[in-house]
Amino acid sequence: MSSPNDTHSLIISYLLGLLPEPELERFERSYLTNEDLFNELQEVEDELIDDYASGALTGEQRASFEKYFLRSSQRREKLAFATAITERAVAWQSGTLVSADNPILDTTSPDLPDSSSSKLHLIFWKGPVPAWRQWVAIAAAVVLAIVIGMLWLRNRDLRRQLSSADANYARLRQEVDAQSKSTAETKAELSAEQQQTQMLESQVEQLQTSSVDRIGDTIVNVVLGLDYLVGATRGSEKKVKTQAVSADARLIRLTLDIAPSSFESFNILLRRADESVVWRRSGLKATPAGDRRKLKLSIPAENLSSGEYQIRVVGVPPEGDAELFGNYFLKIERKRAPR
Amino acid sequence: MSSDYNTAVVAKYKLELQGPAFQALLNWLNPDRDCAGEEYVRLHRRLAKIFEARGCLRPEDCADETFNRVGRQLLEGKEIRTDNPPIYIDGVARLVLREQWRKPAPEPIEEVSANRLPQDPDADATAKSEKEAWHVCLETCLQQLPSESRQLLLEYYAEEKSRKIETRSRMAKQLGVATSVLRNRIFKLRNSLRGCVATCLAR
Repeated sequence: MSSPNDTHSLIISYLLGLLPEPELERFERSYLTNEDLFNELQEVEDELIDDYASGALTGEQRASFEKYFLRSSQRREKLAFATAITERAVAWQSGTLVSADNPILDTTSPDLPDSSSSKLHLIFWKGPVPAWRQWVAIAAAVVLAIVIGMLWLRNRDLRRQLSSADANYARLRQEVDAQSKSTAETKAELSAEQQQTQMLESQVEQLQTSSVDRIGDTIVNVVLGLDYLVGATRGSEKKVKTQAVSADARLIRLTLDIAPSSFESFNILLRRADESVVWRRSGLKATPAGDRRKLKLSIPAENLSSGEYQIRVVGVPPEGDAELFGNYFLKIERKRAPR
Repeated sequence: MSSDYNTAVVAKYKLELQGPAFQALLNWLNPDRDCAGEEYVRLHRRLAKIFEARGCLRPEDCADETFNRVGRQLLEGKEIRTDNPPIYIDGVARLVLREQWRKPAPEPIEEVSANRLPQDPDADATAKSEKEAWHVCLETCLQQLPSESRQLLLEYYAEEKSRKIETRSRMAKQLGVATSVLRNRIFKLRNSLRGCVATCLAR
């Protein structure tokens, strides 16, 4: 006696036309008289149709099914039924009762064959969740957690990069501000020097119009020798030269003795004791005087009131940054004009 | 579907019961009239299944032809000596089958070109309407099933491809029955649903 599995396989082979003729006839005679076998044949036939509708058949079985089994119109009708109910069941399981183009729930249709059909609503039958779906859900959750973790790490790195970029931007901004400030100061210095130049020109013009005998009274020559120089590194003691300036004085000519150096030019800054700038001059060339060099500059006398002044000398090399050369100290004593 | 089949065959059986050839057939199948009728229906279904499996376009007609031939033989006085009438009927059915095979095959419906068919401007609308009616009937009939049966049927059909096989095993295990028992239960539910849909559509 054949086992249930053998019988099942035999029925499948029979339905798909895979049995040789003698075996086929023998099987047909069997189910003609065997009630149980015929019932099983019908059940397996419907199951085979269901399997085809749901795509559960192998490629070879599908081919035989389409070529041999579906020759019968009744079987094709059964297949249509199986396909429809499969679609319906899949929609039920996925939680969407019908697809968009499936009008099952079009309860407004006038073609409804039964008034009870109009009572159809979105009904979601709750079925037990298959185990594989639970595992898929768990796997999906794990994958989602990993992706979220990776995104969080990536987000953290990006935030760090952004923070670093912000710091760089702030530093560059500070540098630009400092540069702008420096430029503004340079412009201010240039503007001041232009004003000084105008003042000097004015003084020279006045001197040219003065009588020759009065020139000696209006120009005051001040010479500051090397012994007055307080160098940047020499550490020599501060020595202040006192210069009396008459009320008629128009111009003070400063002569600063300096030792020979590699500096190409010098910047001079004349400041009061409170460090307010009185006069400035840049790009001053030293003139040779024996084994020494001299820096000469003229200052309108009106700029120098009584008080102590610092003359700051900065050397400018052919290349590179300027550096402090030394300081001279001068005390002006203005005399009142005779009444 | 099986109930529809029975109804149709029995109706035909009653109609032809008046014919002498058919009466001879029934007497040959079983002297008891009721038992003969049941045996006729039972054998008719099986023969139709054989003819269907063998590619007959109208299996029920072929089964009828088989019985008619046996009836005529009996009416003509042919003595059929057999202890197993179904086996004799099977032999006649083989002859009918071979004759069917020798007939030229009709052109398959699928191969008839659409432009050779009369154009129905409302064909699409009609098809859509029929489809809607069909789906509504299916839905209605599903709801008429007991809740447990409906859920069992939908769960059975819900899985696709290879998972369907696994689902059957799992469902049978959950129900505590063999897969063959589950198959039988689904078979009955499915037939019930088909009958319901057919009735619904006929209204």
